[in-house]
Amino acid sequence: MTTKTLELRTFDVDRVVFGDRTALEGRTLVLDRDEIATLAASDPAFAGVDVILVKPHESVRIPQITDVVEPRVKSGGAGGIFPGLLSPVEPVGTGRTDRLGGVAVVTAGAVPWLGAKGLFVPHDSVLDMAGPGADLHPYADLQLVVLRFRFADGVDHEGYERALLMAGEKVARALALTARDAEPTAVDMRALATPAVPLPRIVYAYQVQSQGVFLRSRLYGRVLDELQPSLLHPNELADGALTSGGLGGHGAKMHTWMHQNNALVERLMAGHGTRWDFAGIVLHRGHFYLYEDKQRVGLRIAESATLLGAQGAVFTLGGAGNNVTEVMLAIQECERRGIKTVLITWEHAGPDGSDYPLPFAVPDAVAIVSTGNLDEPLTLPAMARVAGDPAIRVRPEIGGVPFPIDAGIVLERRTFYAGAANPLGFGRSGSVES
Amino acid sequence: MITALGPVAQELGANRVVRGVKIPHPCGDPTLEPTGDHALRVGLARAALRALATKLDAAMMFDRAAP
Repeated sequence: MTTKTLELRTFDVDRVVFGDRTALEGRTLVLDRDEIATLAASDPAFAGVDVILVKPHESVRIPQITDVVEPRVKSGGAGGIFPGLLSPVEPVGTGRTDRLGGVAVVTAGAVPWLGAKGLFVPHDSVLDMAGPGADLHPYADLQLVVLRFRFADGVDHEGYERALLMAGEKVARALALTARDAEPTAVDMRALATPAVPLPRIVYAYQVQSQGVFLRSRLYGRVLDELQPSLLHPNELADGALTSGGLGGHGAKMHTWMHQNNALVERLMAGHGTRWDFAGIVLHRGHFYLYEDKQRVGLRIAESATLLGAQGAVFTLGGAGNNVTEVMLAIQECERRGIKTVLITWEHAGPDGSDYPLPFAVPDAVAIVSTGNLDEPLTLPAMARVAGDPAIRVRPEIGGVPFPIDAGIVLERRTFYAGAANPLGFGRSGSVES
Repeated sequence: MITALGPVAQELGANRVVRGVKIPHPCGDPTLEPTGDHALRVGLARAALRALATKLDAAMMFDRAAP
């Protein structure tokens, strides 16, 4: 049996400009604006699109983001990028994949609410590229190609959701295709070869959120609302087997970019064979509605880790709320089997950080890393421009009211700031022990 | 307390816990016909009253299906 190996080629981009022909010229990505707009807005769910370029750390506020996608394409070997969506359901994670470094495609727009109310609506959010908000997400250093959509009438939320997801991926693939004949900046050979010496076996228990059309994840194109714990090779992530989706721009959302560039997976790969033996990923979902469902998930994660011969397991969360319960029950079962655990998590610690931080915990969870407090208010200065409407919609429980964002704003909770509550702790904010 | 997450309620110190239906709808079931949902709700209310009338030495979970 040969080891699954992926050659991941990076082509760094320093500048994105509009021009006559979509091409990569040195480290400058030139975009034919009309060509990109036509490709992006081809679905009948759209009435049109504005293609907006945003520079790293530019004073710009981007509202109503639904996804962020890194440009990638397969340039050798079996399968295609984003299998099950843009490409057939075939094995991925081998051969060669090209990525544009330093650039991302952002899908955004005021998705019609269509009378939806309460928790399950296309929640609006904002993201700043400068100021204190720029430290709370992984995108401030990137060139962003923002696709700001207008929506056609007579389409339901499922139609809007699929159109937005596919548009981001199609444009991302088209941009990556420009690198085909260029010289890569870096080449990374990715494999989980058996280490020369015995090292601790570590699994990553990777939780995703999928609760219908507003909060959704997909694996090989398949919606994960009923996902039972499932094994995944890190190279499948690199080829876009796991994608975001959903119409909400919620702060705890994992964008496709975060699955493609999961920082924990990158570190586990980097230390594989020298510091530990990375055994693979157990992908699972939280937010099941019965306690027995949560127990089943916890049990299946521990059983998978046991079968993989793991001595340690690292957990991250998908979303916020009662999904902690599945993870805590998995930690309990792993620890009882002698598998040591670490949890990386946000805190629901109240505005001043003094509340009980997690909705549920078990005594076995003894190693926990905090990524910060979701409930801490966020004061953000005005940006020089807004890449979209000057107001977002808040308070869906009463049908929505406009909240101006073209001035300084105070967000009462971070969950409405895109990326601020991401489960991996992506970003540059930190804390000092006092 | 009526809740679908009984062990969580007990961890937080609730002494009398009645098993609810599901997290989004602990006190009813929108998938049932009105008569079935009504019977379910009556059962939950009776279980809650039974819990209140029970003298406890330690925290206890009450099932809505019990007599």
